Amino acid sequence: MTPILELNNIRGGYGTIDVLHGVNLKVEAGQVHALLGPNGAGKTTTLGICSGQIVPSGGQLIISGREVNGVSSDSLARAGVCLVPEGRGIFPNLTVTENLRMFTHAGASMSDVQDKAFNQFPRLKERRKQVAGTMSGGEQQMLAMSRALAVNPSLLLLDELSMGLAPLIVEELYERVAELAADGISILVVEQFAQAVLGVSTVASIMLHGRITRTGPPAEIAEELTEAYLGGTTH
Amino acid sequence: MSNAETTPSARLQEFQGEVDAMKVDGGKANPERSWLILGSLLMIVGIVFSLIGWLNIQGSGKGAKTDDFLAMGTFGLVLAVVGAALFIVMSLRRYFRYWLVRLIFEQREAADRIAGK
Repeated sequence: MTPILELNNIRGGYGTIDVLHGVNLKVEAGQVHALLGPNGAGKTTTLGICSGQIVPSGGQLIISGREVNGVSSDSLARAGVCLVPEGRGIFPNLTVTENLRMFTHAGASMSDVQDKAFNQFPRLKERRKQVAGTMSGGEQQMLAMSRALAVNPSLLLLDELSMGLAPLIVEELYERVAELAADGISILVVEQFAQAVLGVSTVASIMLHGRITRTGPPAEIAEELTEAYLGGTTH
Repeated sequence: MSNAETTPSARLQEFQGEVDAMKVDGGKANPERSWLILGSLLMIVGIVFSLIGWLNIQGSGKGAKTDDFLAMGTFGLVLAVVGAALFIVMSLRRYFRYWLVRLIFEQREAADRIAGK
């Protein structure tokens, strides 16, 4: 089957400065693909290209078999590519209910959006009248993921889901990610902290200095991670 | 969890349809260069208009023609200011971006030094 997302020799960055130097990556339909790497590796830039926010300066961005270099991010979002950005991407000065109402832009009814959000994350129902910015990091992340549920994406891009969260919350969130994958949603998840995501991913890649250095099954990648990050010194 | 099916699900088929119908205009990877060039051109054209207007007003009394050249000069000034603003903003963006990238590279070098590379 055609991969749902393909990056062929992608170069890109910001203005004249490329931070990606020939990235090759494939996400098959129904896969959870983990993209791992240290700070500054280019992971968020890769997601920016996949979501249409950054136009690649070279290479091909292929979505479902069609080259779409330069496509607008709102067109991709309407088609079913959903990005949950680093830092949650919610409206911190609106309540949970008001945030959920903002998620009805894709055409879903408010009752559908609320049902999906509250069924997956009962804690949000308890806090539906609370201002989003006053919730804990984990609850904000749940709200951010509710947007992903509301728009019923075909391709979900997650950026640093675990950022600033307690391990127990991270584990809970990744269980939800696994449930979404079981529903048939293809997921590309970027993480700095590999252990959180390797348990739910079907394939993993390591990115260093703007290049993907290794792709393989999570178990193999887990063994090579330390060496990849630290260049061989593992004491 | 990988999908072993060969026939795409209904959701995937719908997604395929949406992707095929998408308009792709092939945007620019570096639009700043275009804005920099536009800003420079606006500055030059604006200065030329202003100069023409000023030179033609010199020594003339009041009249319709003088008003025309006055308008031309004012328009030229506006163009020059807008062009200068565009040029400065885009130049600053480039400068700050180089600064940020330098920080990233320094961070990578620091990480490599810690790793003993």
